[in-house]
Amino acid sequence: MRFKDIERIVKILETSSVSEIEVTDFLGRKIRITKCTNNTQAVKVEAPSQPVKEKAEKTEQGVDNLVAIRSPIVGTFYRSPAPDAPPYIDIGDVVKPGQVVCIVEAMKLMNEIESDVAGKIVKMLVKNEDPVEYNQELFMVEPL
Amino acid sequence: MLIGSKLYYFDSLESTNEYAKTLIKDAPEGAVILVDQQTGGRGRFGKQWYSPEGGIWMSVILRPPDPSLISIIAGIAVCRALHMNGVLPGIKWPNDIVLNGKKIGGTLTEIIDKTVILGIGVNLNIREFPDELEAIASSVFLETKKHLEKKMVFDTLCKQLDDCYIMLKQNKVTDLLTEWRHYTILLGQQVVIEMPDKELSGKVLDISRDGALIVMRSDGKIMRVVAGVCHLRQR
Repeated sequence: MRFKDIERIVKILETSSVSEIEVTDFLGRKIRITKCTNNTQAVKVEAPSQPVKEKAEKTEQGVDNLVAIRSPIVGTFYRSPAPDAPPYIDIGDVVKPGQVVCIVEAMKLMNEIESDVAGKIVKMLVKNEDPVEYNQELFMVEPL
Repeated sequence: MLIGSKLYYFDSLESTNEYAKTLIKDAPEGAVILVDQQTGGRGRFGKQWYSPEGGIWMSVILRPPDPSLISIIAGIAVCRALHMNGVLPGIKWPNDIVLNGKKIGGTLTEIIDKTVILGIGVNLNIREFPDELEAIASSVFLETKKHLEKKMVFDTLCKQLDDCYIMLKQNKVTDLLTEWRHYTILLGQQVVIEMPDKELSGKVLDISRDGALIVMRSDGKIMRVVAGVCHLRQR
């Protein structure tokens, strides 16, 4: 997105009654411009995607003391390494830090997703072959 | 040269990617495992990959800071290597290598413990395929009647992969994608993307900087595709 495009969006925002405009360009790059009360504009440009990481995103402590294992990339979720192979883990299984829990595939790149925590798998939030988004919760773990 | 700085060569292995996994801790970056034949070669999701003598079956151990474009550069390197040996193949997103509409090569990339195992298969001088593969798979020899010297193609491939990997580490993504566009058979074509839960059809417009395919659906909506299998729509 070029500077003059951003200028045009700012002008549209100034002369309208809306307080925020978000535009996504051809390549998926997003820009969101928010009208502030002190007459300045906050400009936030978001990257089109996040870099691929091998490990699951940092898990977060949620309600009920459960911890989520999240997808580090956009892709397709697979529970097992091959269609006829058993799943990596199931509900009730105890996992260790560094243990592979699933695969997320993007562009024929098979990312083995590992658990960051030791605990028991209590929820599986996606089904085999579901498309998953960046940072989407895949499993909930009860820390041990 | 990083790629091939250490070479593990065998007459036969079950799978070069599986063997590479046993070397993750010890092998230096750029190490290559090369075999004459694989007895249990694998493609995506455990699908069998026919890999008798006459092809190039190899895996490369890499530790890139960002592995997302590894599949893309592997496709470019294979095309360059064949091109330099007098054959001009094409790329079907993300990394199938095709000649006369038939698949003659592909890659399988796995990320394990922060290490990338890049498996590359090129059907070079294979004379025949099992019946079930005949309609979709072929070899350089069958399509061109040229017998290319395997060692020469392998050496060129390592050199070109090394060059592409250096470009990736130097963040020359624009140059790499320009080259990918040159080799791909998809730009402007009507395709069907087969995803696990649905199918998406439309016209291919471009590839984005992170390697996603940009497709315009018939209703004009523009989609970014990161997963799925791409087929050219039959006319």
